[in-house]
Amino acid sequence: MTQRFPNRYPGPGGMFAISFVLHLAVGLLMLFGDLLPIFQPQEQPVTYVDMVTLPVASPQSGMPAPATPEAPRTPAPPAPAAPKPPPAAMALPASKPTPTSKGKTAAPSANAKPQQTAPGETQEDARAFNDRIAKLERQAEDRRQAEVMARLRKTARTGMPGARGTQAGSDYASYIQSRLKDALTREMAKETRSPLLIAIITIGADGKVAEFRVTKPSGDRVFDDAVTRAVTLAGRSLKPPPSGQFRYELRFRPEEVTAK
Amino acid sequence: MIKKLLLISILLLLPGLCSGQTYLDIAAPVSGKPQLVLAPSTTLSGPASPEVAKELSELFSLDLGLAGLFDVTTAGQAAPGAPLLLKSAYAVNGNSLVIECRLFDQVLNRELTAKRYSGSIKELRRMGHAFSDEVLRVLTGQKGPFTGKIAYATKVSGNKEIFVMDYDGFHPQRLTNNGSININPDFSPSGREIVYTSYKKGNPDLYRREIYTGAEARISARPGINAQGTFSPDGSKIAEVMSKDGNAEIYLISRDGRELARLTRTPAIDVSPAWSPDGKRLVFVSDRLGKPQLFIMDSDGGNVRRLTTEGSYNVTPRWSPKGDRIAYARQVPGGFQIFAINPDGTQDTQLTTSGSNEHPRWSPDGRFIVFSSTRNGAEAIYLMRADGSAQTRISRGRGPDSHPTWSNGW
Repeated sequence: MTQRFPNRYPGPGGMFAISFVLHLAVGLLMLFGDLLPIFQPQEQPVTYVDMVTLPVASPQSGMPAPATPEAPRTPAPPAPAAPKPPPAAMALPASKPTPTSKGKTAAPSANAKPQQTAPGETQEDARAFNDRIAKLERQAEDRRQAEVMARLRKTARTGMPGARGTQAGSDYASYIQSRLKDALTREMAKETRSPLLIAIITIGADGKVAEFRVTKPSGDRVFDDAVTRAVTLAGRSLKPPPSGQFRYELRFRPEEVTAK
Repeated sequence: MIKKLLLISILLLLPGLCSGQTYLDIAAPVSGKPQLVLAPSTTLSGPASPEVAKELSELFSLDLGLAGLFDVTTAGQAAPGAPLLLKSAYAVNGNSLVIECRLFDQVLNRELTAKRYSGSIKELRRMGHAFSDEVLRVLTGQKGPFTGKIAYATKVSGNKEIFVMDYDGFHPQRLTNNGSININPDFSPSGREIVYTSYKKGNPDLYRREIYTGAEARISARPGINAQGTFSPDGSKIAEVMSKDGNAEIYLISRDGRELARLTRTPAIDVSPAWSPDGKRLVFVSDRLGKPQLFIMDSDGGNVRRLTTEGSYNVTPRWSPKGDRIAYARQVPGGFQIFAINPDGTQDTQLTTSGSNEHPRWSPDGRFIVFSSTRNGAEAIYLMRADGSAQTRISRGRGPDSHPTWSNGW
């Protein structure tokens, strides 16, 4: 019961020709019927950003500040090398005022006023008026920048806001380091060139030095004694560690010596 | 299998390699010196003696101030909370004197040392120097040099004679009185003997003398020069310069003068031997390369190497008791200046600039260098710290004084 198909197979060449014709027909149909997909590369718009690293003034920096009448705009990042505005931007031309192109910033706006003056006004009056306006704007800009700088100077400190350097902050290790450094500065004495003492300090929950164990003396007894005195002095007024007990390995040395 | 083991080992070691030990660095500037306060001297018993109190205060100020470790102040000028306090008290009874001294650490709230000295009132300065030595011993671990004596050659009597005095120039005492030339004294390690060169028999011969008894022996009287004798650190040998074989060479002799070895053997002049503190090497001067330069050799004369490469005339070297520096005099325009150099030839540093300065010798603790200088006219004895600071005249006579050497404490 084998069914045999009629022998209509055109052979490989025929099959290729049929396939070619069919593909060509479909292609022409899509081309002329506007059925081809349209390739549209989507370009991302290029934007440029000026990135300026601002000094961290306080933990509150970055929060919206209340607007002040003196500084309605966001203050520009301070430029320590040139705190005053460039003269070219603010100064009026020395010669008689010339009409400036529209859409410019500060200096043209100052120049715009003389164009609105009455026709009978003399050129000299216009120049004096321009000078006065420019001077006022320059003073206002100077004041604004001085205030910004003063505000930055006032708030640019590390540690807790309002702290006086004696409180135990969140970084207790830094606090201990600071207290010990102050005490060692006072007691510093040494006989050798580069003494280095390593010790372990344990500060109890009550803020007292529970243990101070020298693990590697410097070999300079004068320096070792100075360190001992410094730890004793600093230990008299330490704040308790926030986590109950503080234990750290310390390395004492004179400041001019490079650490290993 | 080996690869697996290797991998496991690396994995086990990795945390240790990666986790470096963290320290909290406490680095403080060296901006000043801690204060050592001298409390006014009081009486233990009997009447007060302002002279004794004043002399003690001045003596402690000089000794401990020269040490350079502390800012020595009197009680009235002290800042609050000064860490160190020195208290002294005395009792004068006729010619006898008792001194009691105590040193306190006011921060640690403890007494560091306390000493009582008794003797003749003439011994006041010696007692004070003894406590200064003690203060340095307690605070630094190394005794001070203030009870040591300085021997020197002086023409105060018309001829060059050997004298000894306290380190601060007090109590000069004549050792030789032979009317000839006596130079180059050198103390034995005990400080109780000296060797020196004298022309009293016509020839420059080497003598050894006991300071207490005055007993003396001529230990080297070979033909020619017998000079610049210097005791080995253990005191058993003496290195000296002799010219009995033609030109000046360095020899080893025993304490009684028996020749032990000839250390140099060149056609050049080899002089000024000085021992390293371990007694294994000597530094000396030789013109074997044309000009006098410093060389170092082993104590058997071998392994000679040149030390100084700068300056055209370097002489009279002395090895520091700590072994880390060699002081010497270099001829510069206008005279000589004191320099110090490491034994490996590095850190060649000029220490003096004023006048002409020669004959550097170390204090027994290596903290100071004593030398002769013409900065104020006649040659006189000065001392300075090892770094060249605190240059202070200690000669109190009219001089001229030269060839100083500093003994261990008596």
